Amino acid sequence: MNKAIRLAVWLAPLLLAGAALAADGDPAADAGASRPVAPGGPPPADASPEERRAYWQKRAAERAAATDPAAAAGADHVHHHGMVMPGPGRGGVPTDTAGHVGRAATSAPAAGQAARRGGGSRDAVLWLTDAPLKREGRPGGWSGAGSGRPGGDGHNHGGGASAAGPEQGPSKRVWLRAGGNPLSARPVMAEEAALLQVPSGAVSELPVEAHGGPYNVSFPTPEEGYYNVYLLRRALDQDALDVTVAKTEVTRSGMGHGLKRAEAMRLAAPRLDKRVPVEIVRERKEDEGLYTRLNYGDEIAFQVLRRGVPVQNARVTFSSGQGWSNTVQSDEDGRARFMVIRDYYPKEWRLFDKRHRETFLVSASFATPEAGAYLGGQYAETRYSATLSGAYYPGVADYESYSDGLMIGMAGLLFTGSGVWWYRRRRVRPFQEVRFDD
Amino acid sequence: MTRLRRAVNNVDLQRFRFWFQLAAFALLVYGGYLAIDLGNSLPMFSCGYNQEGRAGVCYLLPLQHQLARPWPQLFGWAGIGVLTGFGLFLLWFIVLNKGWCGFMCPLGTLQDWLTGLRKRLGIRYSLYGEKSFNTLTWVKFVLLALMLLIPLAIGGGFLSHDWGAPFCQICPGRVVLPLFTGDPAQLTIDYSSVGTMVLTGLGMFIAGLFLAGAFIKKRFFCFFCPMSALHYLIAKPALLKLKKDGDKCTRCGNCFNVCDMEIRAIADDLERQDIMTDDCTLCLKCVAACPEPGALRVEFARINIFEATEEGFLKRMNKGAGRDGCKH
Repeated sequence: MNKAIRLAVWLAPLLLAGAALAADGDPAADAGASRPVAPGGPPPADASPEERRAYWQKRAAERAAATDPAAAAGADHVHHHGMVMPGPGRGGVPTDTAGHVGRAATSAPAAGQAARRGGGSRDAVLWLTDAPLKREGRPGGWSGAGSGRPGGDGHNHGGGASAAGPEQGPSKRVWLRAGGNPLSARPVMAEEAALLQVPSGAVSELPVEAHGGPYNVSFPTPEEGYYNVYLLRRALDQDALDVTVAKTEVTRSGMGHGLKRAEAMRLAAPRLDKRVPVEIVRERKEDEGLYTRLNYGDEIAFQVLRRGVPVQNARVTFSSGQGWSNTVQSDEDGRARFMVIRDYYPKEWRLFDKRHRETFLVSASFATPEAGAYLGGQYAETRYSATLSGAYYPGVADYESYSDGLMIGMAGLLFTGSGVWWYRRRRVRPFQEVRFDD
Repeated sequence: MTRLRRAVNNVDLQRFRFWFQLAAFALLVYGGYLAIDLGNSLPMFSCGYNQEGRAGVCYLLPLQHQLARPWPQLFGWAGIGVLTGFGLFLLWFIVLNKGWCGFMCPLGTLQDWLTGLRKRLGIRYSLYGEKSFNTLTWVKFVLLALMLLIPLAIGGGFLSHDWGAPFCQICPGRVVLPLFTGDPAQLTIDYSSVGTMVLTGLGMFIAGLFLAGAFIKKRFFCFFCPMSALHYLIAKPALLKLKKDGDKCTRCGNCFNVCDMEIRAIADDLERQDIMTDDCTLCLKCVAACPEPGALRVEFARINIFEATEEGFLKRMNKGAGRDGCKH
């Protein structure tokens, strides 16, 4: 009896603690209570898609205001000074007299504009990326756990379906940044509609979502392949017309299982839109498929094109995710080549992430003596600037070893072989003559 | 019809199987170059890591990836994908039952070729003792359970994704089969995390063990194969069946002697009609080596397609069938 009482005394606190823990972890217990969302936390799990979107938009606006009041103010400034809105009902893309796709603006800074006036400042370089701004810690690289593969939903065998379920379908989102250094580039606001070129080549307009946060657009990605997103901006600066095109290529691809090599290569081939005034095209690696990554040590070539024609002597700058940059001039084919450097050095081996994503930025600028009139003003030259962003990752040479693999394989072979040999040898009995004494 | 049946029953099974396996190996390892794609639910080791040449993918690879999805997805809409994949796997499997192992599996074929090499070199093979056999036979079920539980633990957030596709990481097929298309990419140790390092290290060690083991023990790896265990668990509705008539069996032991998997029940069990066991690969050597008419037979959808006959036995014996069971 005493034993039972002592046991009960010991067990009672344990049971109480267990009950308290169970109540904490029980979603049903929380169902009726109000759910205060911690700052920086996710929206409530049972929130509807609309509520989630509103929540994230509010968070984005707060973040933009908190981290970069100047950008927010600048965006307001742009807005108040009359960014020309799209045509009726934000419908079609305005086209100038030459039939060029474009967007009128009177006061927004263009990518190359500040660079020239400021004697090389790259702060105003505009670029698009599908990498969301890292909210905490170092703003450079990204763990690939969920977003490592460009366009991939982690390691997805469900054909690229979004985590929200098949009814929602796969989709991608791209953000606009300002600044030539991906490490310190900041999200900015804008109101231009982006252009989307889907894998089939069809082009459509993507309206910016109407909220007060940093510029971002989202679009469905039902097909495998590259989706090119462009942001076009034109602005008159005294006697020059600044034409800026920010471009990014995003993919929707799984791990490539089930996708034949030829098909993957066909889908991965670069596409361009000759209606876009200036564009940077990344040339593909040999045998590059949709699921091929750019790795440290790769030499990648970019081609600068003006309406599909290569541009010689354009100033092309490659900036790595950690801010290292190199500038060259494009050759006669409009090509500029860069080596992707390794700039990911975690402090400890256990912190290494083979899916660690860094974002590179390539910008190109050049001027031509094209003169003309734009929105009632005259210009004597046209200054073009283009940007393209992409992702790169550690290469297998950074974390895989053939020699060790072969050594361990040989060890397995020798271990088994010698084990069998030794076992058989042990079972061999020397001949012994047996005599029976009759 | 009688002549056809007689011709089938008298067939030189060893030769037929050799060419059949060779053709299957070529199809599954190099078929990708001819744009052949049989999907990713195949019930044998057509390795998905053989990226260039594969004509289809072993079901265990997508199964492990699917099971590693987050639980809310797995037990929600993504479960449909898992069930669909399993349904396709079942459809493939039902046709040949474990014949996929004995006739189609590239890794099984490779082991048979290593056995052939050993015989040519005149090295004797090894056998398990009965006690070892009865213990080791459970290993494949343990591996099957781990293969299912580890991805589930990943989906539940208990393990990192670095432990993903755990069986594929230790499967010798991943290391060996891509080599046939000149791809040595799997011969490495992945140091990117503890999980990948352990699994790839284990994979390389097991690959070495596989090559040495298959050299001295017939169908060495099949004894531990979780695919074989999975086959056995779902074998009931399969169309291809191995049947035994205990009344006609004289327990001569020929069937046991030629069995690559050392299955005693094939000779000792006189009660069971459906004689296929968990270790069986349906290579049909036992039927070919049986001298008692009708004691062992193969049925497809309850139609008798191959059975033991005295004439067939003698014909095969004259050609040397069954010699491997006795000499080496």
